[in-house]
Amino acid sequence: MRAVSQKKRNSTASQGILLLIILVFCIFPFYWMVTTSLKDQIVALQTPPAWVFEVTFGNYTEVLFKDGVWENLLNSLIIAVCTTFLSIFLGCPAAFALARFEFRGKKDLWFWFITNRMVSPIVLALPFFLIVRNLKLLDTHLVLILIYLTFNLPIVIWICTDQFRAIPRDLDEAAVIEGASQWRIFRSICLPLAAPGVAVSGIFSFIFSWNELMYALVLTRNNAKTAPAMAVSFMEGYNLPYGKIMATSTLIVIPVIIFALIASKQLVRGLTMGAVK
Amino acid sequence: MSMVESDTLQWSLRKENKQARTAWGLTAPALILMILILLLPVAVAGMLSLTNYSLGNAGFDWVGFKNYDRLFSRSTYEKMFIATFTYVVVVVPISMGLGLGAALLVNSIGRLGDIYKTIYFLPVMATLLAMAIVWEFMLHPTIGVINQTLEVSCGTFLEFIPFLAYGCSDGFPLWLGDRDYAIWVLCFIGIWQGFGFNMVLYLAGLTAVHRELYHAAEMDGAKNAWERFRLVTWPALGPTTVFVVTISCIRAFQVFDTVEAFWPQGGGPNKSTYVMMFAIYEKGVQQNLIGIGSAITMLFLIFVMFLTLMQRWLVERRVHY
Repeated sequence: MRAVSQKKRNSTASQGILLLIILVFCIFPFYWMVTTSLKDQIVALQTPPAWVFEVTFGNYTEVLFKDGVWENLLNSLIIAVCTTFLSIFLGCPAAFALARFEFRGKKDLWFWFITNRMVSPIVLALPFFLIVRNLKLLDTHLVLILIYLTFNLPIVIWICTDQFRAIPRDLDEAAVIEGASQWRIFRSICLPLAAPGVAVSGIFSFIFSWNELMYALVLTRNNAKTAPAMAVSFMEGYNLPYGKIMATSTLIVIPVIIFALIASKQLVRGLTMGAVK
Repeated sequence: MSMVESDTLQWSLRKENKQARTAWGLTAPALILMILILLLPVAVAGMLSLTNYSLGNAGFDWVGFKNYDRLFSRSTYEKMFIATFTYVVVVVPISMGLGLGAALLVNSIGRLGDIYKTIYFLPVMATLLAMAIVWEFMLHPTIGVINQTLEVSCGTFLEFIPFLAYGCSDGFPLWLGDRDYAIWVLCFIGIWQGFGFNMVLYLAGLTAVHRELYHAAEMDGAKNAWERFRLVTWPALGPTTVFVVTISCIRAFQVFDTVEAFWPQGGGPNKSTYVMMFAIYEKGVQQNLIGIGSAITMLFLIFVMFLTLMQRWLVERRVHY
């Protein structure tokens, strides 16, 4: 009996150690990023690395206001917010239809939305570049918003369809007897009930648009340049100002991390819904 | 369509028609947008891949399959395929294994697991480009924290490890600048970033494994944990694994941000990390060779479509147990 519990305790301990190792593996880059961003340039490049140091916010003020990164952050924000609202606005009705109605071609339509979610349109950078260039829309917010829509719509539709399916049909039927139209049912019954799921899909839209790099590089120059595209140009040359670079990275990552921490449970559920069925 | 009584048939048909119309009406905006923004560009890319078009030229010539021919004969593109497939073949199984391992560990510790889950998931959500820059700083040959930490071990008993002994006498690897290491470092960061996603998928899969199955397996003589895993958990996770593998493959094929951050010019030392996405960007956008860029795009699209169809086929062949 005692041997068994001893063995169990050992295995629990080794599990704990493994979990901690993975934890450090995951989190160390974040730790290093934030601490370096709070170091003076000389301290940041010190050998051996300084683990205890004087905190300074100089890097942040310099990056935000002298190098104008706030403009890029604002661009990122505008684009991400617009994409999020549009994809919910267009995606919710589609999801409702897929969840509630039977119609010919529904299965193919569904498969198509889902395929798009996987074959993300990232491969289409080149044709987009040409089309956009001919339409003289390079370097505008609108272009990035439209393109991000295409890869956010399927996700929104995917998550929201699941949400709508989870709402009992009795509610609809009761409403029909009361004389409500389908639109009314959608707006006044299903949408409020599905709100948490819709919010999660919105957060995903926001994060994916915020994180995107390739299209931002290809389709923007100055006006609409997003923060990640800006950060790339920081990395050119020698004697890089690592303190400033890490401050920029922190500014880019922080909104995402906040979302991920606040809504982690819902995000995880949103991602895995439909995936495992 | 369900069975209907003949006298209600007409009524139900009408109802169905109306439903179909409403349904298509509701789906239409999203659908039209996706056709416009997705299918049109594919057609354009397909067409351009057969030309020698470049921006600024008035016209272009049809060159047939010459661009594709070039992709399969030049050594640069051979390196491109090698880099892409090495990345996929390394990152997919390891991030899958690590994801499954982490899921089993997190699952076994109960409530506390939620905290670990959240933290393991952070790299997935964090802006990859920003994190790539952080890794670049950490991997810097002289001022990076990794090589500096390795140097601490010099002169201690740890030198019995050949890698450390070699590094102490001849200098530690340049990592990103080293043609022998570059692709592996790229893979490592891909794994760091992606395994949390797989873990989350596996955790969801694990909730669907019924407790009774374990009892049944124990009755049948599966005494140790490994047996139980092999006989119950792994088969039950079949559908999840198919999904994990497909989605990891697609994500791995699309690696771009890290390559762009580490080697903005040229795709790494000796082109060892010249992955397809980067090649499309470099050829098509930076060097204005739109024909060849489009040809790479089409090949890429074919790979990804193949993977997706493969997944659908596997799912339909019933991987459920």
